Order: sequence, then C-alpha cells, then structure tokens
Amino acid sequence: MGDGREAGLVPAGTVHPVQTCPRAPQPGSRDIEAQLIRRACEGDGRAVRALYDRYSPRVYAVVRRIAGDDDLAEDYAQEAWIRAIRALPTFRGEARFSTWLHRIAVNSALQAVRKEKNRRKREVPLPDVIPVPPRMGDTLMQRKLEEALAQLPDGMRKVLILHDVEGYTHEEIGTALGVTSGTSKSQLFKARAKMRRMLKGYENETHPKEIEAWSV
Amino acid sequence: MERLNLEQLARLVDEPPTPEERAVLEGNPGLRRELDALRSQTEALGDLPAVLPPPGGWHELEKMLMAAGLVFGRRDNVHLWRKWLQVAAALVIFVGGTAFGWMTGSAPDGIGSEGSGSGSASYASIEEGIAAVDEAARQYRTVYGEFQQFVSAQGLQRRSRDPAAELAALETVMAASRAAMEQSPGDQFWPELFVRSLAEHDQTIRQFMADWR
Repeated sequence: MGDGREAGLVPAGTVHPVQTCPRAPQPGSRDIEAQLIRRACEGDGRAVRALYDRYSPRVYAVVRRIAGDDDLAEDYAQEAWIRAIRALPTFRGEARFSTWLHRIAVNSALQAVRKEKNRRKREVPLPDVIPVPPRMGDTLMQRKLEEALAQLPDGMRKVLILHDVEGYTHEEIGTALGVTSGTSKSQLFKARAKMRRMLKGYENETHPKEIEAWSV
Repeated sequence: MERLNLEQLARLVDEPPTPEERAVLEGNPGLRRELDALRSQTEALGDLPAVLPPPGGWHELEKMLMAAGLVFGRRDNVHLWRKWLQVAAALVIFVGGTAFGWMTGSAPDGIGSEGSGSGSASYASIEEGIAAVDEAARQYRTVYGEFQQFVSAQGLQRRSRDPAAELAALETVMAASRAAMEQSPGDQFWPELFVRSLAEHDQTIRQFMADWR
C-alpha cells in the first residue's frame, strides 16, 4: 500500500483550492497513463472515460462491498469518481494512480455510509445487514464469500474488507474509521470468526469439492 | 490453556502463536484444521475479483462531471466549431457581398449593400467599404487567434476535432479569402489567410487519412 498522503485518508477527498495539473510526462509506455491523467485533469472527457474504463471495476467493487447495497454502491461510486477527478491536480505520481484512486474511493464510500446511517437513524430504523445479491459469473466460492460479507455487522464488514480484501493496515483502518488500531484488530478477528461460522454452514449445504479450495 | 476459540484462531492468521497457544495447537489437529480454514478464507477474500459497475454508469457520471465543470465533452468542441463556422460564414457573406457590389458596378453608392452580413449596411464611399472590410478582417483575426489559443490551452489534438466541420470551416475561409484577394490584390492579409487555410486544409485531410488507416 502507498503512504496514503495523496488521497488523504483523513480528511477524505479534500481538494486543494489552487492546483495545477501534473506536467506532461516524457514519452514511454507507462506514461500513457500519465498522459491520460494530465488530460483528464485538464477536463478532457475522453481521458476521464479511459481512466474510468480501466479502474471502474476495482472502484465499484470496493464501494459495493463497503456499501453492502447495489443502489447505494452506484451513487457512492459516482461520488468517488467525482472526488477523484476534482482531486486530480493533487496527484503527484508518488503513489500509483490505482492506489491513490482506490483510497479516495474507500474514503468516499466510508463517509457516504456514515451519512446514510445517520440519515436512516433519523428516519425509520432499518436492519444493519443488507445482503448484496450475487452476480452472474461469480464462482460459487466467491458468491458465498460475498454473501457472508454482506451479512456481517457494518463495523466488522468495513474492517474485514479494508484489511483482508483491500490490504490496509490496522493503523490505516484506524485512521479511516476513527478508531484505534486495537479496535480494528479486535473487529477483524471477530469478523473472521463470524465469517468462518457462516461459511461452515455453507460447507454443510455445498458439495465437498466446492469447499475444499478454501477449507483444507 | 486447553482450547483456542475462533477469534483467537483468527488472530493467529496474522500473528505467530505464543508458546502456550502453539502447544495447544500441536495437541489438537481439529484446531489446526480450523486455523488452516481461516487462513484459506482470508486468502480467498484477498482474491475476490473486481466488480463491473452497472451498464450506463459512465453516461450518468459524465453528466455529473460536466455539470460540475470537471470535464468538457465533445459537445463543447462541436459548439466551438459551430461558432467558428458562423464567423467564417459571416465573413464570406460580407466579402462576397462586397465583391458582388463592386462587380455589378453599384459602387460607390451601394457597396456592401447586399452582403454586409446583416444585409442592412450600406456605404457612402469606397473608402468606407474598404474600412468595413478591414474591420471584418480585424475581427476575423481576433476570433481566429482566440480559437487557436483555446485549442492550445485545451491541449486538443487533431483527433479530437470533427474533421468534417473543420474542413467545411476551412473551405469557407478559403473561398472568402480568395474572393477578397481578387477584389483587393494589394492587401497582404488575404493571400496570407488563404495560404494558411490551404495548408491547414491539407494537413486536416492528411491527419484524417492517417486516423482512418
């Protein structure tokens, strides 16, 4: 993982008021992306589209898992992209663009989930767990994992996604969620255990060959 | 310690066991299997694939980005070209009208009366007509300069332009400047504009062919 300064885990998606776009890179294969970033920063819609095509699956995946809901995920992903494009002048290429973008997406989704929870608290209380329906093309194991993830309580799910799916450290998670790294660890272990209990249930329903990949 | 619960085992996915925990694990194959299962589960979570966003997501996003002023889409370029075409068309009408007035011998009384762009202007003398042509040329230079600056500032590449609109605009300018050259052979501006437009026209065709290939 990168150092997280550029995407700024806290405060999320903050844009510096006066920034210039990154300089044009020297010619080279890896610089195609740098060219795209510069052009996107200057408002070139096709360059933004090219970045979107390249990274939207990863952005959407993390946002959807954090949101736990397809409709919300769409809104959160759009918000994440808007923040990222707005923050492009702050991208200096110190971290990989994918890492930088990913952090913005995570921050944006976490913030949106918090807002949504507060909104729901003020309205009709809703269950904490909103299962995400499986998608066509997922393997059975992936589907079971996604279903189990979606059934975790919100706090546990966020920590498990950020740590085990996205590879964040406990310190980074603590910063992003406003908790201590000890809390992050404890939530993670609880989440893993809960997942394991849920997946044990699936093991009993599933053909043994289907589960031997993850249950040795 | 005789047993390890699931949460303790979950910790051992990342952290080494204490001597006490190691002893418990060594004496209990069931716990070791459970720990292995937790490790596999963690690994599988790390391998979860990316998820394609719903179709149509880009179009929604593009609208929002445009509304926020963060991207300039194709429509802005088309708009720009349309504006430029209007300027070129106004110029050709003006110059053509002036030339027509001179050819039909209506000058000096009616110079430009049929072709002043708005169609309402008339000139009292040849000098006044020439001054009007000069003013149109000056305005054209200003607009053309602004256009070039815009293209340069946006970093637009040739591919981003609409070749049909570009060729049409250039042909309009060429026709206008050719007509003006015939009427004002002594004016250096018109041959220069004609040559520049011709060169740009050729370059556009070459680029278009290269993109086509």
